Order: sequence, then C-alpha cells, then structure tokens
Amino acid sequence: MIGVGIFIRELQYNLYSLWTLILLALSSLLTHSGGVEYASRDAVTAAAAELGIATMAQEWAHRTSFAAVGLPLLAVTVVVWFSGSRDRRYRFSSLVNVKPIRTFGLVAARLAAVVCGVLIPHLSGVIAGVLVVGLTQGLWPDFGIFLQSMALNLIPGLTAWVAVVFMATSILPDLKLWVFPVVILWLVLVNVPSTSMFWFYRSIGKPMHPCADPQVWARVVYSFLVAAASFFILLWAAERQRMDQSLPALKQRARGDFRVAQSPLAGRLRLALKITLGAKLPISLLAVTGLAVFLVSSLGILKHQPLGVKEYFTLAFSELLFPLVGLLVTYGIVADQHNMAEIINQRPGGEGKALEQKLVGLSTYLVSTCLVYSLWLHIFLPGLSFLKAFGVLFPSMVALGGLSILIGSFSPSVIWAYASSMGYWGAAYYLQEKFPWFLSPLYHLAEYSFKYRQDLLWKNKTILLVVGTAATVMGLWKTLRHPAQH
Amino acid sequence: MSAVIKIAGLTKTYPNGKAALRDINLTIAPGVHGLFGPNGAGKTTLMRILATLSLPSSGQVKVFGYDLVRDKQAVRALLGYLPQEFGFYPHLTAAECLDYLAILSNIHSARVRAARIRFVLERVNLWDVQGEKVGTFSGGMKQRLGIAQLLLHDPRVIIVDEPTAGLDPQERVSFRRLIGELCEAQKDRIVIISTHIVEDLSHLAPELAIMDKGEILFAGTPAQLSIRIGATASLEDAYLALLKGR
Repeated sequence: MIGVGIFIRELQYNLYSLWTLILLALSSLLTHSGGVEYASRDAVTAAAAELGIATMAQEWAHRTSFAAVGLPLLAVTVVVWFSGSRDRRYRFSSLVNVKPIRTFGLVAARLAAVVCGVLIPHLSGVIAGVLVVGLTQGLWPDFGIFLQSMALNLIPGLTAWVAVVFMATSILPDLKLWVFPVVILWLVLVNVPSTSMFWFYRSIGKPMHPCADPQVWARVVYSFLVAAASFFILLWAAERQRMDQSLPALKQRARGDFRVAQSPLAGRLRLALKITLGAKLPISLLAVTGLAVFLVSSLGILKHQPLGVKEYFTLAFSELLFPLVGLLVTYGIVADQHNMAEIINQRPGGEGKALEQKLVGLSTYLVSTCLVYSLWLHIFLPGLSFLKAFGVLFPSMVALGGLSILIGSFSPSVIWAYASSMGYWGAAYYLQEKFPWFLSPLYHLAEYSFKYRQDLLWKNKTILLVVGTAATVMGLWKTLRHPAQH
Repeated sequence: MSAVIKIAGLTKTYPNGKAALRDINLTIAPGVHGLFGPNGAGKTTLMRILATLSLPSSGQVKVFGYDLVRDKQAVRALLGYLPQEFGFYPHLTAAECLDYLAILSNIHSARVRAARIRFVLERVNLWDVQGEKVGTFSGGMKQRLGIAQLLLHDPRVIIVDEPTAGLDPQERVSFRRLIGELCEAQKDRIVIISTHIVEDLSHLAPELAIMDKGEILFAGTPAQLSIRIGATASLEDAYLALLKGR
C-alpha cells in the first residue's frame, strides 16, 4: 500500500520536471529528422531488401527504433542517473530509511516510477515524431510492425537499460569514478538487447513477423532477466545500506581535510594530472575497449553480428564516453563545485589565483587526456597517426570544454550543461549542411568520429580551436567579473 | 506493552576493530533524556542503533517491548528520528516533502496527510512558507522542517541527534519549548536528545546520560550528577570533572 502511494508520488515528480520536456523533445526531434531523411529515399535500402522488407512503410516501422535508441538513450541515462543518486546528493536517505516501509516496497516503487517516468516521455516523443513525419511527409509506418517493434524491442530493452543504470547510480557512491565499470556492466548485461534495439530488424530471423520469431522472445526474456537481476541487486544493496552494512567499496567516503598546497598552482596541476593520468582513465579505457574487441572477436558473443554492429562496438563506447567524462570534469573545475574559490581567494595574495588554477588545471586536463586517448587510438587504429589523432581530438575537446565553461560561468547547476549540450547537438544536426565545422564535435561525440569523420574533424581543427578558445576566454572572463551564484 | 526502552549489554564494534559502544546498559522511561559527551563518545552510534539504522554487534534493545533487530518495522512505526546530517529535495516545497515522508510513514489517506502536515508545520512555525521550495530555506528553517517530519505520525519515541547545532539563540529557545510541549502532549512519549550544549540539557532534560569512549559514565538527574561531583558544581563543571576523573 505504501509502495503504491510512493510510486504515484514519484511518478508525478518524475514527470513534472524539465527533463520530461527534454526527453520528449529529443526523441521526437530525432525520430522526426530520421523520418525526413528516410522519406527522401526512393526505395528501401539494400540491406532491408535482402531481409525481405518490401515497402517503405515496413522499413520505416523498423527504423523508428533506430532513431529512438541513439542520443535519446544517452538522455534517458542522464535522467536515471540524477534520479538514482538524488537521495545521496541531497542527504535524504537517513530520513527515508527510518520510516516503516519495507525495502522491497520502496525499491520496487522507485524503480517502477523511474521506468515509467522515462518511458512515457520517450515513447511519446517517438510517437509524436512518427505522427509529424506521417502528416508532413506522407510516410506512415506499417502499424503492425511498428507496434511489435515498440512492444518487443524498445520497451523491454529500455526497461532493462533503465534498471541497470538505476541500480548502478543508486548504489555506487561516486559515479564519475565508476562510469567505465558501469559501461562494462552495460556491455556484459544489456548490450545484446541493446543491439537488438538499435539494429532490431537486421538482427532477427523474421523481420516481417517479429511476434513469430523465437529469437525475439528470447531477447524479451533476456531483457526481463537483466531487469530482474538489477532489481534484486538493488534490493540487496539497499537493505544493507539501510542497516549501515554496505560493502566497503560501496560506502561513500568522507572527503579528506582540505589542504592548501605550498604552491596553489602546483597543487592544481598535480590534481589535474592525478585525475587524468591516475590509474582509472587508462585502465578503464583499456578494459572497455578490450572487452568490446573481445566481444566481436571469434571468441565473443557478437561474432555472428553484421559488420556494422561489430564496428559499432569496437571503439564506440570509449569514444562516446571519453569526451562526456571530459565535459563533466571541465564543468566541475569551472563551476567550482567544491567551493574552493573563496578559500583560495581569501588567502594573502590569493586574488585571481583561483582562476589561474582553473586555467592550468583545465589545460593540463585537456592536453593530457587527449594525449592518452590519441595514443590509445593510434594503438587500436594503426593507420591513424598519433599527430592526426591529437589534432582531431584536442580542438574538439577544447570546443566542448569551452562550451561547458561558458555554461558553467552562467549557472553552477549541471542540468544546464546537459540541456545546452543537447541543444547544441540538435542545432548541429540541423545546420550540418551549412556549417559542417559546427557539427564536428558532435561527430566526435557520436560513434563515427574516427571511423568515418576524422577527415572532417582534421579539416576543421583550426576553427574548432578558435571557437573553443573564444568560448573558454569568454566563460572565464564572466567567471572573474560576475561569478555564478550557487 | 511497557513504555520503556531497555538496553542490555549493547556493544558495537566496527569492521576496522574500533569499539564504538562497550557494554551499554540503560533503561529509558517516558520523558526527555539527554545524551551528552565529547566528540567520538559513541552518542551518534547509539542513536543510530536505536533508530534501526545500524545493527549492534551484541546485546539487546527492546523498544516498547519490541526487539530492535527482530521487529524493525514495528519499532520504526513507533519512531521519529532526526539525524545530525540530513537534507530534503530542494526542488520540492515544504508541504510536498512532508507529504512524501508522510506516505512513507504509512499515512494513506490524503485528507489525513494534509491535516497532519498542517498541524506539524504550524507547530514549527513553517505553515506560512509551506508552498515555498525547501532549497530557499535557511539552516534554521530546514532544522524545523526536520522536526516537523519526525512528528508526522505522532511517534511514541523521538530521537534527535544534535538538534540545536547551527540554530541561533532564538531558534534554540523555540526548539526547547517545542520539545517540552511534545512531552506535555503525550505523557508516555520518550524523547532522546544528544547535544554538546550544556544549556540545552539543563533546560530540557530531567534525565541525562554522559558517555565517553563508548561507555556510559553517568546516568541520572543533573542534581545527582552535581551531588556526585560536589554539591556546588554547575552542570558544566560537573561534566568536565566527570570526564577528567576517568
């Protein structure tokens, strides 16, 4: 009974949020843009024809899930991340834990509310996008296939993914440190249904009758098992957390005492190097990429997948996450999320030092991460020179870093960093013909950069560098004169 | 069902080997009880165990006849707890936060919840700002909202950990008055307060326990403590003398 009440209240709060609008807008826009692009074709693609798909309506019905599982999935992840970590962020747990609700009811209500809270706007956006494409372009999906694709592909796959992310973000104390291990978890647990979400019609036996395909039902069962396993892990961890019996690795560590280094500048430099070159980033990259390579190798579970799927896996995840983590770190440095600026500024001769430190920390972070990742790319793609990899990465990272600095100088709330990044992605997509350089960092963020778009990025390196530096300077100038208030 | 808390042979040892509580024996009858001691004395550990948020290593605690470990849910239904460190969702209003916690406290009817929320917010003088977001509240207002949330289900046992830390003198006086009223309203209610502030104890707690290094050094009334140390000693001097004499 309490569980039902909590579910209704949680769902209400989840839906009554800016994120609902963002999810709705993103999934409808991407479905719409995918539909517009597809409507401009004359006939079904060769790959679809090979699978026995005869009409545009049939292929479009399948491709709606293609449009719905790219960037929108990333946005869903961010929303679930915020939801899963909120008790910890706002120190609300101790008030909740002492209430007479059973842990099972609490966990089940919260998980169900977060699943519904993201699926409702996300799927509504997909349907809205499909409707707009139908009304404006005259391209309507085959209703039966569309329904089956939603019910047997998107809903179970997304539910499993949301359950995994909610579990991980609820029990892991500092997700920035855990983001790569979580991706490994994703690779191991969800990637098979996630692959089917993205490449649904290409990876099943009967694309014209998904309902009659045992492989599809096996995937539904698999998604259900992943979701159930995530729920039980979460339940176990929440019960232990409630009684202060968490495993040491899952306990939130107390921050060490604040120490001012002899030279604040050297201190910040050391911190930036520690963040970048500490064991976590290189090891995580190695683990994620290594595992991906293993999965697509002749020994891995994805060995029978089409070439496109294999390519998607090899470098995609590290490539996708590397700049995202970078964005978060640069944002954290600039938005002064640890409230260090005042402490530094009030020290004798400390005026302006905070800004100087941020600049040094930021530059060190950007240069060293790009160096590490360029080396990484060079090892995995021997045809790509180290210099070119760095020349492609660094300007993109400066452009993205500049964007986050500019946003951070206006608002310390991380929600604006995400909202603006998504706005930028949307604008870049629509302006790609006129201003290809504007799109470059987007391609860097997407999974195609080094396989398909490295030349575009290389060509536009100077303009990206200039734009990024200008954004950085403007952001820091604003921070120095009128810092954003917490 | 006896309206007391009985603690017998309670110990708590953390996995790193640190003993936070050693053989605590205490009987807590209805009324206000102060828990006093220096930092690291074990007050918060004891309170967290009483609030069912930590398991004892050994010993037994009975709350109104319920075993704290076996009958956790029954004990939780009797409890109102305000931890030392807590927060609320800043984007919710005071009333929304309380509504959420009221559902968790097993108050199903929306009408009853609304009435209780109004009642507790009026008790802590926050009714006027019930529609404002908690993120805009001052430290003192958040502390009062913390008190309000623990009163939602009219608990028989109230446990508050350092409730007056960070409050200004006026708010401290209001808080003491509120605690007094709570005990007046329900005679068999047990209120346990841990504090560093001697003044709070002298105003609030007719019974007190002094802890140090995980042990109870003294349990009784302030007057008994003064007599033990020296009849003319103030409560503060008596406390310091007790710690020094260890």
